[in-house]
Amino acid sequence: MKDIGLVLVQPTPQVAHEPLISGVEHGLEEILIKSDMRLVTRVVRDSAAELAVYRSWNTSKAVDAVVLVRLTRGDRRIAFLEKLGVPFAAIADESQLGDFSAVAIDYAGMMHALVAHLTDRGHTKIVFVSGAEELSSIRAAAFLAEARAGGFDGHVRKPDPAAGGSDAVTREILADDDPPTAIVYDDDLSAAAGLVTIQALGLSVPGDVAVVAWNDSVRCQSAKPSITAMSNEAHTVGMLVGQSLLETVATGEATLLHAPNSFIVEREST
Amino acid sequence: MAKMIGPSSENTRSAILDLIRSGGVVSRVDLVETSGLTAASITRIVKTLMSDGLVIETGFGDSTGGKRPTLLELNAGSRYAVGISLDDARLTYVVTDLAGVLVGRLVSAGIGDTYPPTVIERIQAELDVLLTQLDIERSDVVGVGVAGAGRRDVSGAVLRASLSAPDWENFAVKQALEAASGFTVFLENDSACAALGEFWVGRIPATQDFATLYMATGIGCGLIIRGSVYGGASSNAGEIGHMIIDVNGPDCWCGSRGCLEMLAAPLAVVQRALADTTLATSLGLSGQPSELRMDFARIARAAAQGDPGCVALIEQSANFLAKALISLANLVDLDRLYLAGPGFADAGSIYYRIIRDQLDSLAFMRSVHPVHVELSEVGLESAALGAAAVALQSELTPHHKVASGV
Ligand SMILES: [Zn+2]
Repeated sequence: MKDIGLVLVQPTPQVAHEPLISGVEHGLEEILIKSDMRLVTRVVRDSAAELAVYRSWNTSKAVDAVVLVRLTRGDRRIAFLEKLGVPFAAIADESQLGDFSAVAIDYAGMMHALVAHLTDRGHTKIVFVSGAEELSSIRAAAFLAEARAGGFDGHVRKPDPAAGGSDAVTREILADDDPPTAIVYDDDLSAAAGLVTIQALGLSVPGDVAVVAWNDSVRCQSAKPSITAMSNEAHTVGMLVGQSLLETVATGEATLLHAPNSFIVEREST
Repeated sequence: MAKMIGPSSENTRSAILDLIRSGGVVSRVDLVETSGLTAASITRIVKTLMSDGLVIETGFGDSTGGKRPTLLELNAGSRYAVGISLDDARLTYVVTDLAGVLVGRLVSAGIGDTYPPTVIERIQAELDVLLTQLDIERSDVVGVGVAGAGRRDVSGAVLRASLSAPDWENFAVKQALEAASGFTVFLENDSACAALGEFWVGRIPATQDFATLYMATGIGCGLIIRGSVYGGASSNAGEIGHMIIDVNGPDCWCGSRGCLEMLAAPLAVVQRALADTTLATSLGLSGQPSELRMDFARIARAAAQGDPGCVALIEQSANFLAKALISLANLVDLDRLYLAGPGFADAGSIYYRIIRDQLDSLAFMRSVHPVHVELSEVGLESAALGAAAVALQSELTPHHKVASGV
């Protein structure tokens, strides 16, 4: 086995990959290079093109196994790859596991830690601003489950990119008669944009509103004030995916590995 | 843009292509206005660009009285460029379309201390593998840009010495790779590539001067002046790694002492960490020269997650870099600076904060204008993306010629 493939669906052209994907790639590469293997990443515009790439790779034998990211419920790529006979490993939430190789991430457990960080600081009304991808809805569901169990007032809002995205949804949230004292953003970009909006409204962070980002990045670290975030374990997840693939191919059996839980990196925004 | 394209210029065609590229979607009338050429010349040039498949018609613009103008844009998917970053720790290949957008990448083992002809053989084979993996025809590749560390000789073709890969001294990368692969190869310094990468992806107007500090195993600096790489007498400008920071400092392999690289580069950080045996053990540092960059990444990741010992080590490195960058900013009156390369991948925010704060408080011209600092968004890939940009630029828009001898 020499070449591992990763297909990324990006509907709009982008110059570089998002930080979480880069982190996974670099961790994976670290493992592969040690075994004198290679990682190829191919960018496509939609999921039909993604399947076409797997078909082409299977025909040309130019790639020996693939990594699946951004799993969805009943993801059709799994059956597709199994039918082709292409070995793969997926990055999946605990709730998405099946009879295939995967690195499992426990979003519910991580959400529990995040919410505890806020409720410990006296927050009783919290809004979760979700993202576009399906994994975000798993996190949103975990957030609402925490609200029911923990007895705080929790709401989920989904920004509409066409209608102003993070900025507009933040304004709507804070225009409420009884606005929340904490906002959790599903990604670093929205959190950084939301922070700017909150400050533009004349409110202070964390005095009036606390801000948390689900995934940590340089944006969170260099924002003013710096943004509290869940630690970025992408590099470790990437290394585990590499191990899972190597074991899968060596043993012919599905290999399940568990990613370490992210922890809260406490900064100035909470 | 000023009307500066003369009809007699042999680079007229490439200049028009660049106007279409940078304009996004334009009409022939727009091109007449921005180029200063006659409508007949524009019509003729656009016709040849379209017959070569480089430009396509995309629809109609708004009418300004007469008939609605036909809009043109770059046919981004018609050709591709390859960029390769020749790095100790990993070889990174990127493939971009004509617009510089990433369509694929391949990463394999770094060059380490492998004998250069062996590496060239591997690159030739991996180029074939990558094009198959991306379903791209060889004939659609305009060229291969290569980014590497080190000095070039007077011919501009030979990429020379670096501490980590001494065999590359006097090895003609361009000729060897051209002979092996059959592609046109362009060679550029990795820090210059990182700077060009920022420029080419369109984040910076062509009129703006800026510098990109690039850290991998060594430290270099790419200077972009009016849209082109500043090369100096021999295309070797930007060796900020050998700026002397401490006249009584440790001996450097270049012959000086107290150079920035000896104080701030990954090797210096890892050596300091190894001196603290408790820290070295808890991080699992190997101390092997071949694992230098991985050891550095371990320290940087621990620092990003708040380990106090590692934070102190990275802050010390950042402090030396900040001092060198203050001198650079003072020397060339810089107002824009990017931090790029694998050295900033894991603890970039610590470097960013210290460099920004020191430039804010210590740059000589701070009362006149600030020095804007940013971490490159293209990060680890910046050298490879820039190398692809060199290939695209040299092939498609030679009027923008990079300042080096390629
Ligand atoms: Zn030196």
